[in-house]
Amino acid sequence: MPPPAALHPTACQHQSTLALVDLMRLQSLRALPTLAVWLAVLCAASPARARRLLDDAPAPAPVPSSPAQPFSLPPLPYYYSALEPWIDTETMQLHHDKHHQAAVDKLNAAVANRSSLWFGGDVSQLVRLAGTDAVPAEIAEAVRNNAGGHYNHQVDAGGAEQLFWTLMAPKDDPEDNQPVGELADAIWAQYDSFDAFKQLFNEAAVARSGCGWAWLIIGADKRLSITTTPNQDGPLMAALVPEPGTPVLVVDVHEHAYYLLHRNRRQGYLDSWWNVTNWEQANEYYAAALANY
Amino acid sequence: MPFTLPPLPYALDALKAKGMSKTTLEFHFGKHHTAYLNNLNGQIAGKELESLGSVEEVMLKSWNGGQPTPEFNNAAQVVNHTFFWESMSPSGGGKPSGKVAEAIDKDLGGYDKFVEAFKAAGATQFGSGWAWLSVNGQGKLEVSKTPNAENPWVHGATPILTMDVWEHAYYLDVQNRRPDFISNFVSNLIDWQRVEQRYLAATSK
Repeated sequence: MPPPAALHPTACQHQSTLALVDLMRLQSLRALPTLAVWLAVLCAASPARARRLLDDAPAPAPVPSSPAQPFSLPPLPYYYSALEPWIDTETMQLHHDKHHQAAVDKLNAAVANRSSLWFGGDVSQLVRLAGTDAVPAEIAEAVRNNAGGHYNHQVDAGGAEQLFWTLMAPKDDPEDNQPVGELADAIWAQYDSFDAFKQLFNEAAVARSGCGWAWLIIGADKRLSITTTPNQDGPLMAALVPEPGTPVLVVDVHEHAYYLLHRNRRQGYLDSWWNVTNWEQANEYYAAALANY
Repeated sequence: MPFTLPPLPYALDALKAKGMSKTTLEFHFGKHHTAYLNNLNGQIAGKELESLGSVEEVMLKSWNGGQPTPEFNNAAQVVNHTFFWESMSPSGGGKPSGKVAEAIDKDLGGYDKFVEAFKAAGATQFGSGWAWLSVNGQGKLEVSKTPNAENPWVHGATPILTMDVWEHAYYLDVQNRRPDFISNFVSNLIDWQRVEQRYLAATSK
């Protein structure tokens, strides 16, 4: 179901926000004072709205569950163009509006008459049941593939995990994008350096043949782990994946995530993706996961 | 001796008029297919597998009864892609005739039923994979789909036609619209003469 037009990022493309986008494209610290001025002008009271404006989009309104549409697709937390030149606009549009939307539509169709699987629209709870008897056999594959797809990409299902889209953000200094906080400490402690960690993560992501995802997860032992999953499987699917855990960082390595701009060069895509990794968000997921274990 | 790729059976822009762009073939053949071959050669250098006579043999050996070894992915994708190029033609498309058409009628219930089954196989192969028309162990035609690098050869069948549904096969041309790629392949690209030859070879024993 497409988001209401009034909340869609493209509905807000009036002159001042177009200027904001242009300033974002400069990707230079010198743009910051001007951005601050724009924020003061455009900002509403709440800091959350301020952060989202820096990310170039209005706050997505929560879409209530309904019998016909238990799961829904909120808009991206930023404009489709926000991650240029690292991730191209057309890919963001296709990936969110077509691929992710298709997963949501197919999921809704699969669970249409099974309200016990709706969880108020929180797909992170459904995804935990993939591969178990809690999901009827006749929809098992559809749930695995489409709940998996919706979960892995999701913006905000009301659950703790908000994944692929929220783990990217426009950066002030994309070519010096570094981990922050406790997560940074953990990466250095466990992998000896950010570069060493990146190399292992890249190798794993490139080695995942066909469609899938590369993850940084935290296990019950509170240690970080790099893992990959095929198709739309994910680490919450304890019954289906060899290494379950809680996601901290994730990258989509389906060809549709990178083919238009990077063609066959998955490593080139990964190099770009590191420039937009949202380490602040990853650090929040890390802290939340640690608190839960 | 390292293995080599046969050249593409036609020019890179030869399928443009039939809906498969030159850029797609440049990347699909020149990058993806070539990389599978180069990676395979790297993997088997100095190993027993290197002494096998063909990539097909490496593929069958590395399938390892369903627990494939690392070489399988590259070997199978080398074989699958060569078979794919040879399944298409600049003068392709239209309907089959001859023995294979008779077999399609007899074994699959006719061309329209074949098209429906083949399109469904391509459309419902989740993630990466292939759709196939093969002669099975009983000498009958069957439509199937396989994930990633897997193919009917490792399951004892003899393919006579394949369609690649990995995203790299169609993303530059039709983006997410896999069904459009599939429709175009079926209507405009299939080299039915080649398919007939393969069918006769597969059923002549």
